[in-house]
Amino acid sequence: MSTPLVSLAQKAQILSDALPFIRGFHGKTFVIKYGGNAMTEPALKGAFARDIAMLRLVGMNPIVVHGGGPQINELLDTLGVKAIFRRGMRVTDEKTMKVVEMVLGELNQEIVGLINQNGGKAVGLNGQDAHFIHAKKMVPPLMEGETEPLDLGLVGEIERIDADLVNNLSADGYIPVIMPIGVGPDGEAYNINADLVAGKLAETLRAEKLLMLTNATGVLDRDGRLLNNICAADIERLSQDGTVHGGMLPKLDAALHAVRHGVRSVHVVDGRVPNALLLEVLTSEGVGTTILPDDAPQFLAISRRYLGHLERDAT
Amino acid sequence: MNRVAAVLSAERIRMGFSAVNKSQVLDEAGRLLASFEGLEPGRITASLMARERLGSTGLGSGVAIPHARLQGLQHAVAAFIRLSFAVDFDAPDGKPVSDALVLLVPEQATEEHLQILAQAAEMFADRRFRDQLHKQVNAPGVYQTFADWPMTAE
Repeated sequence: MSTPLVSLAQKAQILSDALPFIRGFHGKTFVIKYGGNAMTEPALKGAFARDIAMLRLVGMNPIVVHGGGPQINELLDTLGVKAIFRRGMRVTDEKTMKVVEMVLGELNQEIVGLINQNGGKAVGLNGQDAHFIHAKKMVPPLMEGETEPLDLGLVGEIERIDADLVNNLSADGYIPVIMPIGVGPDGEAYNINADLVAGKLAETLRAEKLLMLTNATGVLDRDGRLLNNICAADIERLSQDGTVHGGMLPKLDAALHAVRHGVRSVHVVDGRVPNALLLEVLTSEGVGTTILPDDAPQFLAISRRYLGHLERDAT
Repeated sequence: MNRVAAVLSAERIRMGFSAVNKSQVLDEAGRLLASFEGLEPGRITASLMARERLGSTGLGSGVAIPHARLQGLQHAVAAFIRLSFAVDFDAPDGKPVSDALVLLVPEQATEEHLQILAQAAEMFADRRFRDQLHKQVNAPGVYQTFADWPMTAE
């Protein structure tokens, strides 16, 4: 038998070290946006499902929202339908919408199955269920030279989310696994960006954390260095000066909105790292970037006031 | 030498302290610093608590910098406590704290004292520094990690 990397005593120590984290986050809600490699590589998929089941079984309330962009493109390709993107959004005609619903439904059941195999009680949901995601047709703002807004077909934006269904399932020990489909007042299904659904859901639930799994190390500065901790105002700056671009933009928009509307922290997590979720939730160091609200305790500002007379000296 | 290392000493580094909450950590900070500065431990703890009530000194990622102004103190002095088990500190990221750098400054605090705090915060914001610190298992190692900051680029 080979020598184990970690002795049993060390294993016990590692488990014991997790207790303060488990206690601190007991009963807290985490919304997890699932996507990227973590959703396509078999080993990472299995690890993700185990992490989710584990977080639930130690007393936290994980809620999963997933996308399916690459898988949708793949099927459209097979069917000979050309995927068209305008301003980063998939132009969704009725035929495309059928493919979107089909692929998302299949992925949803696969995720539910994997979590359940690991001892969780996952339940697949679609915004149609109990009509919990209210959507409307997305009308992008007019761009220069346009006389009428761009028609994205069945791409929707969220009007509101009813938290009851998700809350009730979560309170009863279930793990909701949600695909990003919303329903309009006319009963029509809309295709919604999964980052936006995860962000809005986290806000509505006033989640402790919104965790977004990506294929990136995290949010990087101009020189390509990882930013471990930033606040909402930093995101605005990084988007405006072009440091952050491409696929990270919608994620950070959702993150920005979420931390400014009641979510305690947002984490852009490197989903390529095995057990990224456990590292992020149960250890002091995460794998990626933590985004905090602007009004998170400002250590130095408070200390400056506390050392009071400094300001009096300055004036 | 950086400002933080200049006020810290290996003798004021306590490794493996077992506490169940923040207040026990601040109690220990009082005892640890009183023995070197000839101050009343209860008074140190009470001052640290008073600052804590204005907002947690937890920075996130498991580290905190409890600090206070103290009457009768002539110069700034720091101590370090490594906890056996992390405790809740009401930190911005919600994570418990296992490493606390405690700083006391004279009642008449100056800009220099604020700079010590700012530098400590900057150290703890550096992931490589935190990783290096977490690896240390004894007081001299912890002291050396503080003294070696800023770390040279890889």
